[in-house]
Amino acid sequence: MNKEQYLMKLKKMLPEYESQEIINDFEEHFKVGLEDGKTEEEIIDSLGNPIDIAKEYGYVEKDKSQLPVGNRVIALIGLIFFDLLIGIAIIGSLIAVWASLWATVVSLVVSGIAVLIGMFISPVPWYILFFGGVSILALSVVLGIGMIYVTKYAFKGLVWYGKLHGRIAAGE
Amino acid sequence: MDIQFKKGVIELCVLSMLLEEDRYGYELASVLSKKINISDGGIYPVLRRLKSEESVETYLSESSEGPPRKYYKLTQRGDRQRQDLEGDWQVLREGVDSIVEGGTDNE
Repeated sequence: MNKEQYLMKLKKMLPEYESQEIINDFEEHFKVGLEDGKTEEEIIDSLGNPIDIAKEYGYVEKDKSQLPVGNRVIALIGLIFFDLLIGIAIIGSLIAVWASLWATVVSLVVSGIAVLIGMFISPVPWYILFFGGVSILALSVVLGIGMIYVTKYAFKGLVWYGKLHGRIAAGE
Repeated sequence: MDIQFKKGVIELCVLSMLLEEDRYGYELASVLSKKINISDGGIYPVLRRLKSEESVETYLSESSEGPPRKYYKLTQRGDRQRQDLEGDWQVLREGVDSIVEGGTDNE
């Protein structure tokens, strides 16, 4: 942290009508300290935590990043409406697509194995069935690996979307 | 240390230092942080409060080197406050000493 960052941090916690005068006092402290042969770092160390200083002036830390409660409630209600009207439909159809892709993987595995078994009982030449069956199984493995990734990211996305509600309620 | 208690002690120290001569913030902070382990930044809220209570006055004065400095000067009101605080401090110090050194046997 340098002098500017330190003063900004302090200023942020003070009300505007007082902050300039207080910051002037600290500016002077820095100037005199530098003339005294100290570095900015040393001066900052001996000044102490700006949060504590603001408290001693009688001000507690204001968190300006927080939205007012009213805005938070409206945002949360908006998000819940979105969940009910559109979110459920979108998430529902995405889950249906996801499930049918997994079903495809399973059916590819089953049919690949079936074709391989066919080698022993079918009049079709064995090498055709062998290559056919292996190809189908290979395809199922590729699709299966792809689906593992899809599942992982879809799950993360769903968790993020769920947590979004909490974050909006907390006013972040 | 209890914050109210600490405030009173720092006020007494500041007012006593100003009894000798007018001083600027950095000077007061250096002496205080050297003699009673407090952070330099803690002095400015105390000075501001003393000023709002009219116990001290401020004026700007050029220094031989660098920018003008804000000097703090003890007022009559501030001197009365200093005497009150000093009285409190004597009573407190004697009381604490007697407990620390001799316990409560004599009562």
